[in-house]
Amino acid sequence: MKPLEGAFLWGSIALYVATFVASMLSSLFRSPRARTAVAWCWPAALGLHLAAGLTRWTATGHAPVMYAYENSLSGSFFVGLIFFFVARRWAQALRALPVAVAAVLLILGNGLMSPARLSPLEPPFRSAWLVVHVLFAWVAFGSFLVASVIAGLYLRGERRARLEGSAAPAILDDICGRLITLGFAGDTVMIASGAIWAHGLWGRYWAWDPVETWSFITWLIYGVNIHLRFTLGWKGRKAALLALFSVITVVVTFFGIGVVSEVHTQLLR
Amino acid sequence: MIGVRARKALFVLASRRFAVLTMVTMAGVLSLSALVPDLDTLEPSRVDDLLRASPLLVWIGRHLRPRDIVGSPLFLLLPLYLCAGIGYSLLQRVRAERKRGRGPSPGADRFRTERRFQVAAPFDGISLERQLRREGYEVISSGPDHVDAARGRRGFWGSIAFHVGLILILIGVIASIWTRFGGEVMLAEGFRIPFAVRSMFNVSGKSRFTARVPSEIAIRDFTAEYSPAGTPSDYAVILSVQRGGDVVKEQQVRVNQAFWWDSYQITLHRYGFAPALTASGPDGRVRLDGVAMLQLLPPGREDALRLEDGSRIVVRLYPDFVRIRGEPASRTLAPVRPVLLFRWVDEKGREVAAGSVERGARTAINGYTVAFPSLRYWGGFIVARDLGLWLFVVGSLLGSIGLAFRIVFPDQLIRTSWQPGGGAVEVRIRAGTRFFPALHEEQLDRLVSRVRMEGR
Ligand code: HEM
Repeated sequence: MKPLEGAFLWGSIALYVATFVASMLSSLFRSPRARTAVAWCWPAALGLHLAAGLTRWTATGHAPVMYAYENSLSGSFFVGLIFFFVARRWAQALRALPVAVAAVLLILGNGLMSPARLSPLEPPFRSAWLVVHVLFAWVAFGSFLVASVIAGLYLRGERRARLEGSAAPAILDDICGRLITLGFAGDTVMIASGAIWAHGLWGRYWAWDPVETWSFITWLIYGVNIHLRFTLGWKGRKAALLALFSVITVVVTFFGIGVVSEVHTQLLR
Repeated sequence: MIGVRARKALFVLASRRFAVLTMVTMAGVLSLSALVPDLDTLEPSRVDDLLRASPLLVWIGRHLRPRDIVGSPLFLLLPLYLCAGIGYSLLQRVRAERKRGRGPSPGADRFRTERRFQVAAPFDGISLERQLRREGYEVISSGPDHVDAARGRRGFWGSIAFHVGLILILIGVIASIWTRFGGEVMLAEGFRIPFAVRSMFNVSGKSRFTARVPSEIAIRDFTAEYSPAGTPSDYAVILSVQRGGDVVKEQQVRVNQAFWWDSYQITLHRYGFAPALTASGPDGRVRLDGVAMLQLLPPGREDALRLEDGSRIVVRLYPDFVRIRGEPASRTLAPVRPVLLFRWVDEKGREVAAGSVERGARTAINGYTVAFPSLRYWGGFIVARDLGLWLFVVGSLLGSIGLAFRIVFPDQLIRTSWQPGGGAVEVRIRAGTRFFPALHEEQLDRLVSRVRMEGR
């Protein structure tokens, strides 16, 4: 990692932490100062996060899409960005900011545990499919993750509404559904482009390796989400709980495959 | 009687509930199997340990491997059922769509809402119509006191395209299971081999490999580029198909840039060094004169070349030779200073000569001579032919575009009417949507405020 990238990255991490603290203070004490701090720190954190990615892009000559560190750098950025757009458009979502920021920090932290050395794009990655595949992968990943954050927020709001006898925050339910649809579209393009790319590389488009199998499981599970929501009328609590559980497949697909094997080897000790 | 039963069964099969159940079953079985890594990749002793720790995991690992599950006839029934179910549901939906003609989609007023507001007279509805068209609505009917509009027709066809795409993908996957052929060939620069199954290894799929016209393949001019750190950054080679010595097709091939011949895709998959070697014994008789194909990684990896008389030469190639604390090593993977270390072992397993030879040199030890005149490359190519691929590609494209249309054009309906009042016009909007009612309320509020702005 170049010093400039490091400065941007750690700057953004500091600002994310500040956003997290300020947003907690804002929701706990309804402090206007904390709200102002969020309004400044959050976009600045995203800006520095983007700058870190771009600095790395310039240094390596390729988009940050290789190995765990780069994937965490870009994946967490997409989570932050998608949540940013959602919360700008629907202020009701803003209450989930601490959770969204915590998710960004967790993904970044996970990436920082792997080496961040600069390396040129390896020959298999030199393909136009890479751009399509990775871009849509992050759209899918970000949308699904943010959808689950919104689902969590909905469940909290719904519980409170039930206790108070008021209306459940239906808009959050709809935002969650929308994000799932967007994520599913991204996932479809991600899987299709990845498969076509794989055929060009290895002479087969699908081999049921763990990554492929888990991607397919994720896609099926979100297909189920969509069917239940849109053709069988699931909404509210049930749909939100399903969205929350479905995100487990996303986490396993993007980060957990190694962990699953790790658990397995643990059993051998 | 049978007709009624069959129809009932069909109804259940084509029901969305059953489709969901099938998808959940597929996901469930696959996730169970994907939890346990392939036992073939573990050492037997570790499998034994695992067997002691958790027999269930081993059972899953042995009997529920994703590859085997999806290849099993029972699992194949699921996509087949999905195909049939989707196909039946598509037919019904298209039929209903044709019946409805220009009217709104029947589901478009699933969630209804209403707005009433006033705008300054005169109000002729033109601004409203303009706003609606801008938002993708098609006007169904309009008059001096009303405008009715709907959107979502493109979304409907998007949904149909998406499900047709799914059917193509499912058929494609099944077609691949039945028709895919795959194999690997290894080719050294300057050599020609028949383009046929007998030249291949790792052959998979029932061997339907019958190149229509007998031909041979060859490679030349392998180029490999290395990064400053010495790792390979790119590699390419010119591949040609020849018939009777004449080149029929020639093209540069690199990773991600395949060669197509006779509906077979040939991809450069890996490569390594191919040193030209000659070896002769103390009697002067040449025992070896050819090219060895050695693996690139790790440098110095041992490989044995068997000779006719039962003896063998064990070689290790260092492309960028150095000695570090007396031990041979390679600075990089680039062939900057290739040196071959060899051990000649006779048929009884005794080492009779050991030494090193640099590119362009010869070394004689105990009367055994090894010469290393040149270093070439070899390429490993995957040959594949898969008729299901094309269905998969077309299905994916259709599915992705269809889904995008479905998202962009939701099923919605608007009926507006207005009546002039004293100096103002009261506008009434009754709207309906199929999905996302709360978001629809917002959209409607925005539309109302825009119409009021224009009416001012
Ligand atoms: C027997 C199997 C299936 C049947 C009968 C079926 C039927 C349907 C129907 C009737 C709709 C509602 C469309 C509309 O009203 O506009 C729908 C939507 C949808 N289905 Fe399926 N489907 C099946 C399998 C699948 C599978 C395997 C997937 C992928 C995982 C899938 C993904 C979707 C999606 C994403 C939508 C929402 C977008 C749209 O409306 O097209 N379906 N399906």
